[in-house]
Amino acid sequence: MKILGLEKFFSGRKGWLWGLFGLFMLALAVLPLFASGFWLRTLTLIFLLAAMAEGWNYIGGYTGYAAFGNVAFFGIGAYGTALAMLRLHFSFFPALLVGVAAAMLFAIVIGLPVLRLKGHYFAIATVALATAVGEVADYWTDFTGGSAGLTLPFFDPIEYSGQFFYYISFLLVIFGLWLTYFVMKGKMGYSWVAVREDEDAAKMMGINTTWAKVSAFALSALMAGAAGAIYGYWNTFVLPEEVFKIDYTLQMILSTVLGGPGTILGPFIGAFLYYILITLLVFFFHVGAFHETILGVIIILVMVFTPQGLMDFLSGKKKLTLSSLLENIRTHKV
Amino acid sequence: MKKKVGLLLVVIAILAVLLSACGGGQSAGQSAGQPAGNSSGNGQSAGTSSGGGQSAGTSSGGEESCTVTFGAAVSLTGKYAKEGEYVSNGYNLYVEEINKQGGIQVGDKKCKVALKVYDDESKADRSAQLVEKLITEDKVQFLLGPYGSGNTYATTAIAEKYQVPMVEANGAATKIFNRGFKYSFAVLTPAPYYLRGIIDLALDQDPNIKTVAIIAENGAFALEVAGGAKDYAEEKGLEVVYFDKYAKDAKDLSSLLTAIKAKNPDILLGAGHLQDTLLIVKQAKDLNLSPKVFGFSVGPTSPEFRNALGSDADYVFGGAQWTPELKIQSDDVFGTPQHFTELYEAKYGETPPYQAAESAAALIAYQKAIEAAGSLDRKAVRDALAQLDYMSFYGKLKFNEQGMNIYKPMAVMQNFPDGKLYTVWPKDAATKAPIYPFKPWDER
Repeated sequence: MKILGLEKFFSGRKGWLWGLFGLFMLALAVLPLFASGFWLRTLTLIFLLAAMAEGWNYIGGYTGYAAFGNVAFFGIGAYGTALAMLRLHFSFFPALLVGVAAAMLFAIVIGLPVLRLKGHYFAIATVALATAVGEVADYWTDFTGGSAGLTLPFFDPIEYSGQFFYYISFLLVIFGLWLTYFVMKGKMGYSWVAVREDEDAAKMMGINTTWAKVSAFALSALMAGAAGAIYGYWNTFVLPEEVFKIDYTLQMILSTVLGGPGTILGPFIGAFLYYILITLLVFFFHVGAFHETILGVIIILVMVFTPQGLMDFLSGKKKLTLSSLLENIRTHKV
Repeated sequence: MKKKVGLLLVVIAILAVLLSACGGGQSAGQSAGQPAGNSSGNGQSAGTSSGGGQSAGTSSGGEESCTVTFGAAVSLTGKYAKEGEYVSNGYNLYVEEINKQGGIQVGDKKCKVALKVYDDESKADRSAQLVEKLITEDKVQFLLGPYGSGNTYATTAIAEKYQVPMVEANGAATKIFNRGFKYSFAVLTPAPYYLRGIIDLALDQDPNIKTVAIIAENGAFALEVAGGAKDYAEEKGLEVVYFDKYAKDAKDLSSLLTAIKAKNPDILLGAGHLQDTLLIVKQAKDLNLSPKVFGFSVGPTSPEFRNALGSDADYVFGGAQWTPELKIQSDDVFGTPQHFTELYEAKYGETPPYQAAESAAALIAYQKAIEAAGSLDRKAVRDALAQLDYMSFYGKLKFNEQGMNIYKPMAVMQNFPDGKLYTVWPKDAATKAPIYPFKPWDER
């Protein structure tokens, strides 16, 4: 029941949190007026990661299916957009729709058989799938340009490209938050949670579980696909090894789990903390490649003490005290 | 009371994030007009150098001092850590040597050289982030390249956005330069030219050579190398009797080599990396495939090639961007490849790989361009780079309209039966005459 407390939207600590969050978003909206190109780029990366994490949250958080291949949607979004721009001479926005549509279509076609699998089998199948799609992009030279990749035109005027990609990624994140909110207060959202809590029971209650799972998968493809589309155009090139990197899947899962799976703000907060932490470690504490080790330790600590993510505490469901941390350890048997 | 703790933590966390972002914002505030106005002159670029006011101002001694700051994101960890180390060694060796001589001549004063190198972890997105930081936060005046075509691809686009010159030394793919960029230059010979030296050498040894077979690994770089070799062979009147690619990480190429054997080519050229090069030589021996010239883009020039193949490495040719043996006389800080090699060995305890030499050469290109421009203005230096025509210890430094150095020929090295590698091409820089033809496997 924890995600269904939306009716008490602006009351109690949740209201506080949303108010604070609103201020934060406002600050982000005006930031490009002051921030350097470096911070614009870093924040754009965070937004894209947050958007992917919001998408992963649909299938991994709300529906409870451990999808480990969401980077495939990211890559398909990037390739779909690039191909539409290069082969069909679309401008960016129509091309983005092509990329997103391709990613969603792929999620539906693949989701129908693959979502019948459960647990480890599903996880492994999605990893294999992402790898396979990457290989196709790598070897289908005539269509995808093979491992030489595709070169995209520049955003014009180039001086404002930093701002353009910042705002468009920011909008994508906001769209993702709205989508989460909108879906979760409707029938579709309830059916996702029902599948997560007990799929057989949900089926017996007359919920079309296939549709629930496929819709969650397709909407997570929408978010990752759009992020991929923006990423490709931003970088001005699409390479198989870049856009099908398993790192991205891991990052979106980490962000979601860190912030709180199955919550609206969790993935966004997780992505933010995760990437700001990396940036601080790398750029201000100069720990070099050790940042991955440090991050690993932090993630283990978060997993052990707050398996439901930081949202547990932020939303006021639990108090951040020693006893509640210890209780977490007991209840989740870690 | 306890209830407040969580909330407090949230507030602190979010404030911290905002503050750190604003901190970045503030330092950028001084240079809000930087991207558009960075070409407004010498004074500004000197003012933004790492030394700050002290370096721009006149010191009490009455003598003006200044600093030229270069920045680079290089792979010091991750899958390109070794190559990245060579790159950063090359940059550092140059900086050390030039500062011994007082620095770079800018107009009528000498400027010390400062270098800022970050680790990009062999990741393109980190590389882009670092270059953006070097430009907008660290305020370096000029950029040097990362290692590898992928990262170079990502970072040249950022250099172009801010109109900051980038002279790179380790991205050979021509696709980087086909985008109409004005601020990117590469000192190394581009991929399509890699195998030209071996074709020239073969025709020089035996004008009756008629046919060539070319195979390439399915990778961006290798395919460009193979495509360039095919075009050049056809231009020279050779017949390309076989042209195909094979999968990355291929474990068996015998069917491909059997097909080539049936065509009986005079020259067999391979474009790939060390592992597949070793595989091709081993399987060619098994099949007794003995063309008159057997050559590869990369592989035969590395010590691992000899270690893995033993005497089977004999007579095989390999392309090289640069070798320590080349006979070149230059008036740059290093003078000759041999002197560069001595300095490098003294400092790093190993023979310099070509990556180190070309990286040092990128800084020499900057030095000569800055000297010619007589200023540190980015636009003026860019224009001087476009006009550059200079013979360095690394070879000719000259750029075509796209910014590629197509004027420096590739060297060719051959594995000799005495177990050593010798530079055999170009003729005027060679230490030994090549052994031709390739000794057939069944006669060894």
